[in-house]
Amino acid sequence: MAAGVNSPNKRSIAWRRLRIATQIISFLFFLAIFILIPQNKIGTPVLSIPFKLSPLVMLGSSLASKVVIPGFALAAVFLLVSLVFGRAWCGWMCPLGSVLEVFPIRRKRTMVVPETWRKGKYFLLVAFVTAAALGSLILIILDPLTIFYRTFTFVIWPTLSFLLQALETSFYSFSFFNSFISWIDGFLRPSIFPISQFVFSQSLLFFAVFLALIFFNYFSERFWCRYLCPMGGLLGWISRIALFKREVTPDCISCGKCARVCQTGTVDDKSNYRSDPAECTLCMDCITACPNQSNRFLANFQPSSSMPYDPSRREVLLTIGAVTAGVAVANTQAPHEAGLTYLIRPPGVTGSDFLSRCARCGDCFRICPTNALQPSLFEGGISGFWTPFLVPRIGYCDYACNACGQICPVQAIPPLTLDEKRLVKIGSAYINQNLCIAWADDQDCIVCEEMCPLPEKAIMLQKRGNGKLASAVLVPVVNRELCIGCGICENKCPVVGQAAIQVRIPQDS
Amino acid sequence: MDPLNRRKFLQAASTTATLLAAEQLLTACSSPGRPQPTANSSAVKPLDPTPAETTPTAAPETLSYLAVARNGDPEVMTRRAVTALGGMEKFVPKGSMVVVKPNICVAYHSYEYAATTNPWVVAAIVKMALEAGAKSVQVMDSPFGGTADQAYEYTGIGEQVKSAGGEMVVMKDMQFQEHEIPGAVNLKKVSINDLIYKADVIINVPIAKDHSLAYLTIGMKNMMGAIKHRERLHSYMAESLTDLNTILKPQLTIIDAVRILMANGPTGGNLDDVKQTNTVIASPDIVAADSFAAGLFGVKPSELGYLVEASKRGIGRMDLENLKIQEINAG
Repeated sequence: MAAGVNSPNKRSIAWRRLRIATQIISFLFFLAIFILIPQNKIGTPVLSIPFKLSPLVMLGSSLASKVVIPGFALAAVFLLVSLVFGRAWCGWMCPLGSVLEVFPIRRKRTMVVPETWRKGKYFLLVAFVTAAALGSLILIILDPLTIFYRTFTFVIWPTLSFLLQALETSFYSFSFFNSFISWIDGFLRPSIFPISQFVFSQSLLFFAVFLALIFFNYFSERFWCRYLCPMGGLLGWISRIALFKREVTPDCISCGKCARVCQTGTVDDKSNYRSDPAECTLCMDCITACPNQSNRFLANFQPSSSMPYDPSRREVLLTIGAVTAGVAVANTQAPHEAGLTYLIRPPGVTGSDFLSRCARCGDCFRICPTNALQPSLFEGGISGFWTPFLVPRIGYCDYACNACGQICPVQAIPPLTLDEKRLVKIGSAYINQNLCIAWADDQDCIVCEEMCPLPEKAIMLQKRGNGKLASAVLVPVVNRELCIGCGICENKCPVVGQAAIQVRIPQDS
Repeated sequence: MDPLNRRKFLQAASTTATLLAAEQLLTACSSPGRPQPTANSSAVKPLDPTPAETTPTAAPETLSYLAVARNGDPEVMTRRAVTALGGMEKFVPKGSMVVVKPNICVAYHSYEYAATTNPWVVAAIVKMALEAGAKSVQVMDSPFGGTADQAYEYTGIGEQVKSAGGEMVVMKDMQFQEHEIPGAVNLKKVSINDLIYKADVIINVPIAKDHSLAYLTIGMKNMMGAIKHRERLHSYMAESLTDLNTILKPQLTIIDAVRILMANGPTGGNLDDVKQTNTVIASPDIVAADSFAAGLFGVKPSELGYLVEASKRGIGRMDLENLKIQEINAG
């Protein structure tokens, strides 16, 4: 800092500090919601705030399913706020944005990403809306909040839980540490981490996606926010008529500091350091950097001028056409055989309405106490990408639980009461007599019958022939009129590998 | 700053790695030979059900081998039955760590459905153990419907145990250790919860339930709640369950037969399947206690494979006619 005039004044530093503090608070808020989800004690209205906020989730889900989803008013308020503050969400609140901001792999711009790439986020937004209007919600996976929550659900939390478990187990084997570890563990489980380790199919894929987003920062700071994020595209589009916009006053000395610190690189040193409100996240770094207080954010009703990278009408129409064709082609893809047989959906879910509602937010996976819900790949067709289905060999639908329907922010899983949920048939159990210990090996087993939670058990035991041990062996038989397909029988079946009793999707679906 | 930071980081990382490695090494060296203050080595064994005990006179003349209290309040019946065996002081030395192992089955039926041990029977045992001078009384089971916390709350056991001064414990993965069972017929290795394995005194408090036609789940089977992968025991059930009961030996078995589940067990869910029998059975001999409880279902001990196997291998006795049984009317 050369002279007093050139050092940024306290007020401008305060702006930056305020922004960072807000980011931390916001991150902690979203993280706290994430941590509190499995307990579901403070109630769904609070826990579903993150996705009720997201216009992509609420409007997209409403658009795709043609049903107005309760609570979308919050998303509308969110859009109104951006009419005043522009993309402040991106710079001040978005938890994914904050995480990406912490990993600026390269701050110096040695490699210049072409400005036209900024079109990307608008194309993705148009693609998202088009697909949603055609009933496919698959592009919701690009919503930054769902990316944040999925990464935590499928990767970060299970990994932390695993590390914790490994440490605890190592130290617990010393009796000296027993009470200390138990004390720590009492704090952490089950309030923060589940009692037993959660595992997810494709967790490596989710990790790869997250790593890729961070790695993109190598090409430019906040690469995702600049070029890809459809939420950024939506807010950017609104920001053109937002009230507060950045202005450069005439006393600018053209030092170029603002252009160097700008997180989204929108300050243009070739046109008097002006910036595009659709790109500006109001991070205030330019105000802090400016030696002359020439950067200001002022109320200005004048819409911003168009930019060279704004998508043309032709490009938008082409995107709409391409996505329409893509959705149509996707619908000609024959369903996966595994999906036809074993794609057991959460309780109460019926038909394709589910696929056009599910926000892929990860809440149901997180709240399911037995880790039974797993993300599908293409088992349910391309539109079913990353939607929840039950894998009984990993977990079963607990007779004491109706949490997934309670937490689902878009009610893709209907909010059934516990009594209602216990009557819903999600599948039917079938015994493979070639594998069953009782049927094939002539030994008593009865585990499936024992575990069946129904008051009148859906698995009956019948005496058959002469067993090796008892006078007759008890063989299990399923009463499929009673069976609700909870899958505890398949989960607990002692046969190694593929269970001798398996739940298939119900016949009437 | 940069290289120094890196170096510091590497130093810290290698130190940590070394420590972890050393810790693993120590663990590996120490676990097999570590002295284990197990239930087996406990000094309190008033009526040790060992093979030596084939002579019925092993029990002192004045005290009963098995006590049955009927027609009373659950707590009164429990107290009377234990008193008839010589009082809780006989089983719980002062300052001992006691684990009470009820049968807490699922988080969706209250105790009235007889899927879960009666909360007042459990609470009475907690109180008696504390009155006898126990240092701590921990109560635990591993339910398979709902989480342990939910089941403790929903069944009503949690509330009663806490007000009696006991502690409800949720079992954690890290607490399980694998043990070999010497002389096992089928179950050679088993993962047992350490809190139960290392307790000074185990008090087994099953509820008597139907368990799939010819089976009943009572005391011996209740010990399966202390281990992991219990579904593996279901093949060669009689042999495996007996194997388990050679390594996990409760000092006292108190069977809650206040309400018994006659059908659709062990989970239940239909009050029509529940029979009010108002009985509490207590004995240090788990086989004798189970044999007596089987009678409530009209089942002879010899019809239950695991009782036959266990008595053959000297875990306890099923020849009820030769035992000193005291029947108490607690009404």
